[in-house]
Amino acid sequence: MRLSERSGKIESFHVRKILEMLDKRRHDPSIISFGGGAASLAPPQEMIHSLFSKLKNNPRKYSTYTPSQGIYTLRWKIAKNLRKYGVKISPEQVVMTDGGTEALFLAFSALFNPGDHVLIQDPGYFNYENPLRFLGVKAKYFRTRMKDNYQISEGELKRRLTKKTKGIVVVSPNNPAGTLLTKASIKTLARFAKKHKLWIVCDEAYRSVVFEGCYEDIYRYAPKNCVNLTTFSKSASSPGLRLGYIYGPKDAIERMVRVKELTSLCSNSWSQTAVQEFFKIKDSYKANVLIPTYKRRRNAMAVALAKYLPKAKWIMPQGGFYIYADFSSYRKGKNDVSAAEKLFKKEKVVVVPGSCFGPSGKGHLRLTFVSEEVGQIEEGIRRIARFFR
Amino acid sequence: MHFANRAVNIEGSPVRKLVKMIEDCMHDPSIISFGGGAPSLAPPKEAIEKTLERIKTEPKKSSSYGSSYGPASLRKLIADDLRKGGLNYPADQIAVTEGGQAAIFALFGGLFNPGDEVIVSDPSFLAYGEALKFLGLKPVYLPTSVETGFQPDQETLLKLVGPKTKGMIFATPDNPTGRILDDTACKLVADIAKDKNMWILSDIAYKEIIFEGKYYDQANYAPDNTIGLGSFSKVISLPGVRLGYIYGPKEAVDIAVKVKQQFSLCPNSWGMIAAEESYAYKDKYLKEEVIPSYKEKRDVMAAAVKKHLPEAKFALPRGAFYLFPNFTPYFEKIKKTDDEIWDDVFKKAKLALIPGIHFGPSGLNHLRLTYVTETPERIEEGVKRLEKFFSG
Ligand SMILES: Cc1ncc(COP(=O)(O)O)c(C=O)c1O
Ligand SMILES: Cc1ncc(COP(=O)(O)O)c(C=O)c1O
Repeated sequence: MRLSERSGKIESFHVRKILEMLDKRRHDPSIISFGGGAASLAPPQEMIHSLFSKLKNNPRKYSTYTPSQGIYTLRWKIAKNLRKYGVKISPEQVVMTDGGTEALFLAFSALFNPGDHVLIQDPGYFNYENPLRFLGVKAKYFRTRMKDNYQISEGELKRRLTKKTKGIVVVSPNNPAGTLLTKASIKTLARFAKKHKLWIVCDEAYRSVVFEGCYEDIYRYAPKNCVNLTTFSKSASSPGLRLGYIYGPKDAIERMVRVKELTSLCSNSWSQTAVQEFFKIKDSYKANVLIPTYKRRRNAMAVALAKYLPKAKWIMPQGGFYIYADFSSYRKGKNDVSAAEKLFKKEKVVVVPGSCFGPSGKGHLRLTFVSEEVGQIEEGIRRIARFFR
Repeated sequence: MHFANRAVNIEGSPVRKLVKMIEDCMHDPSIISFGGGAPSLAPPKEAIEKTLERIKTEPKKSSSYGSSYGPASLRKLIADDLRKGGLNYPADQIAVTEGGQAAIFALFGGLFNPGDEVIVSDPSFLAYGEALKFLGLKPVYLPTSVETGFQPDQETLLKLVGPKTKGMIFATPDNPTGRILDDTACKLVADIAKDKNMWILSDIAYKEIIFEGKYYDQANYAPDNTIGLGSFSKVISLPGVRLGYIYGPKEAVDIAVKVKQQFSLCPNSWGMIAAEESYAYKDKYLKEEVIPSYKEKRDVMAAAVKKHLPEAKFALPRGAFYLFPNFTPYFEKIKKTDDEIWDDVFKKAKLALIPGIHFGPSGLNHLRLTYVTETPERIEEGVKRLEKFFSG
């Protein structure tokens, strides 16, 4: 039977293959994973306990549909929390989503028409092009470079701008590169978007995972042009809960809620209930568990890389889960896809080829530092070094 | 700033207005709700206890990302369950979805091209039309009526099939009509689908919420054309966890999963544990709690409408949550539009419901009355209020 052409245009993620590889890991403890994007900690106990007691007291109330936009008190907490970053919004300007993934789909569906062009960052997260293409929107890369600390250049944006350009997608902290947009980049971007009447879709999935410096929220610089999205997958170590949110101008959010009524009706009531509690302990969880654990692992990977793979070029990530390194100085590193495949087969190390993150990713590999313990991280880097020698 | 036409053109769901009304119910106990689509029972207690136990023992594993298809263990349980109803699908032809709603959206996106026409039984679940339009597809309404028990009529159906018609969708048991497709209808639909090379989407969200009669399935007659979708929202009273599933030819399931990945990486993990645990208790739960409770309420509402609103025409629903009477004589007396009546009923009679017109053009002059939500006493009281409202 016939299937739709639209769906034929979707490419399966390379990352799906990695998940399959990881699936095999259950049976093979000698595999070291620098591949996934999942938080490696357990979600805070408090979240789980709070959901438990609520489900025991009133299982029906906490297991029924919620409003499509999400539970009001939760959106209120989100709005309040954003004040700390100078973002002044009301709960009406927030919609709860099934993770960052649905948030991106809602934004793209509500903002762009078939035939529109949208600029996406190279390197950047690999899951922007497919949903855009599914919706008939054309993604065009704009380049950011390691030598510029992956910051945004107005000249580059101008070169990519066409009459059909309607938006720009940025990711900060960057996946894969780990850099945060500086205030200067943010101001450039905000000015550019206002001047050319563009939407900025800002993917802040890792906004709570910042090791040095402060997260600067672009929203306050262009509140009429920005829709910002994030997820509890990373900050609350609970990717399985499939919960995130998107905030922006009220009319944009209203339209996204309408789309959400068609994609998922509403987000999970248990997850929303658990995350209500997360807001009570968020700061201490971040300061005492999340950041110290991941920072230790990041540092271990950085030290090992410098020691065993001195010719690799990379920037110390300020945030996120990954080190993104250019291995093209090594002969076997020039072809990142084959390097990734061989690393898995020969050395049992899972990594993601840089080409997944845009055309400039050739010769790069993304190495997740959050998944393994310090000892395993060092061992993994030693294996990669052995492979490149 | 600019917006996408596809989003601007979505008609605000009437459910949103209803949700507002229902929220008011919580604050104002004098409002009676015949409006919602959520079950009124708590999910099976033992299943919830088992679920919490599993989350507690393995907090990290139970909160992680997983396959977009859902775990093999759950897919196998779904396969076993479908087999009991005579539907034979191996686990790799089944995928878990983020509720029935996500299944509908993913299937429409995966099976049809912009410009294609899809036949929608009229009246039926209100999200079909909007989701089709959003994706650039055209819903073509197939009128059905209480006189023929809301079964599709061969002649009417054939007249609607044109070169652009690529599929049909039926819910059985249906929302809002409560109709279960009979064997003749299933065969008819299957024959047309095979003949014209069309997909049949079979929405079994209310599977097993059946009080009388037998369930038939188009898949028995046209397995290569039929793709089904189910939900954990109604049967085990867990709408909040947003879980459903699809089953059918493997290539169709695969393509729907690909579309689904554009708006969801994978179904949520805690919910899937609950879904797995529910299977051990489902039959008992349905037999001892769900069916007796809903059936009693259905009978109370049906009797009350017969007694207080004798000119309303309806078929006793054999399944699902709703009574769907045709109130034409009453509407004619009032001389107001369906939506004006909606507002008025809420304001004056303090009764929340949805006018039938939102379920398709044939729903004109009907009201959908949910019977599962309120107690028998309040159901009786609600119907009396409706009578009073109509008598001015
Ligand atoms: C940059 C970025 N955005 C969005 C997501 C989506 O994650 P989720 O759907 O779990 O929220 C991810 C996950 O890896 C990500 O890295
Ligand atoms: C016929 C029908 N199909 C599908 C659904 C979607 O339900 P869910 O997304 O909760 O599975 C509903 C809900 O009301 C329905 O009535």
